[in-house]
Amino acid sequence: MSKPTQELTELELDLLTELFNVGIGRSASALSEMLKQEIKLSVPEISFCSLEELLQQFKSEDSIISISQDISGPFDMQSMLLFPESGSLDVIRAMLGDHLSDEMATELQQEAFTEIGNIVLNACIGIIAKMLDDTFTIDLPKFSDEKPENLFKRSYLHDSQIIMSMQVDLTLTSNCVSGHIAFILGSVSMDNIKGHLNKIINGV
Amino acid sequence: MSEEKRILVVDDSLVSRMMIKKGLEDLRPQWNLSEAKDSETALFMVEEQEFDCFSLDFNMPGMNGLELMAKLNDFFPETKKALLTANIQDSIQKKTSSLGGRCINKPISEESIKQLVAYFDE
Repeated sequence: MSKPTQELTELELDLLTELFNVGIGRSASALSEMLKQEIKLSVPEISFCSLEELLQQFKSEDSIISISQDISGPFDMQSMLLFPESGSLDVIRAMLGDHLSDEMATELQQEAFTEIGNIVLNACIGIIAKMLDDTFTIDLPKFSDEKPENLFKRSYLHDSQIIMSMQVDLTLTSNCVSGHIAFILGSVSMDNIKGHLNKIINGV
Repeated sequence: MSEEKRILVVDDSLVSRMMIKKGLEDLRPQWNLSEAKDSETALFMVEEQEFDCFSLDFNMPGMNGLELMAKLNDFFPETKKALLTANIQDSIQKKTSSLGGRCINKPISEESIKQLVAYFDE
């Protein structure tokens, strides 16, 4: 199977990374407002690998909370916001207040993270759509609390498929919790992506 | 007509540098535009050439735009420094202001370039 990287020029890859860089910047702003603290971002990293290889990065965690949304439009992708389960109660308290007991915070886990994921991922996709002058349809967020190896078990992607993954680490500075945003492009039509990217490149 | 200025555009994205430069060229063709792909290159360039204004990306590999702004302040406290970022967190805006710079929101658009030009023209 050919890797998508073989089909994108350096300029196209540069623009695609920048689109996500801008999008994730907006996500961090939205998350910062919700959690009332500074969010530090790493520089986005694009990798071309199989799902199996991608999962290796999360092996050290016992359990991972993920909020994923399927996105269709100029190109289809799966977006994911991931947090280690171990820091999840701190994130919920940052959002809803320190007064919450462990029991209450655990009860609110799914709703709180679904809301966080929805706002963060929509902030990112909204600005990318604006830059592409197009529209994405975003499915409802799906919450899961899984062992890392099960992260993609309900995905339409299969383990050996080569995917293009854009990933950024985000750190909640007050709570010292690090999460992860990933956009996974699977069976994509590179021609489609290239067409959209080149519309912008040709205008420069 | 605004006077001639020497501008350094620092951004790790080649396309972003192209877009910023094209936008500036369209509005201020008399300005002299240079570019750097990261902070380290920018710091090397300022040793060799003088600049009146800087357009800095925030999220770059190595030194980020705010760290670069602080370094530039050591040598060029009077020059204008704009931080171009989609990361519009209060903390980023406050840090930029405390360094005497100005935040301009990405994505790069006609509007953001106009704001950049207006700031450099102030």
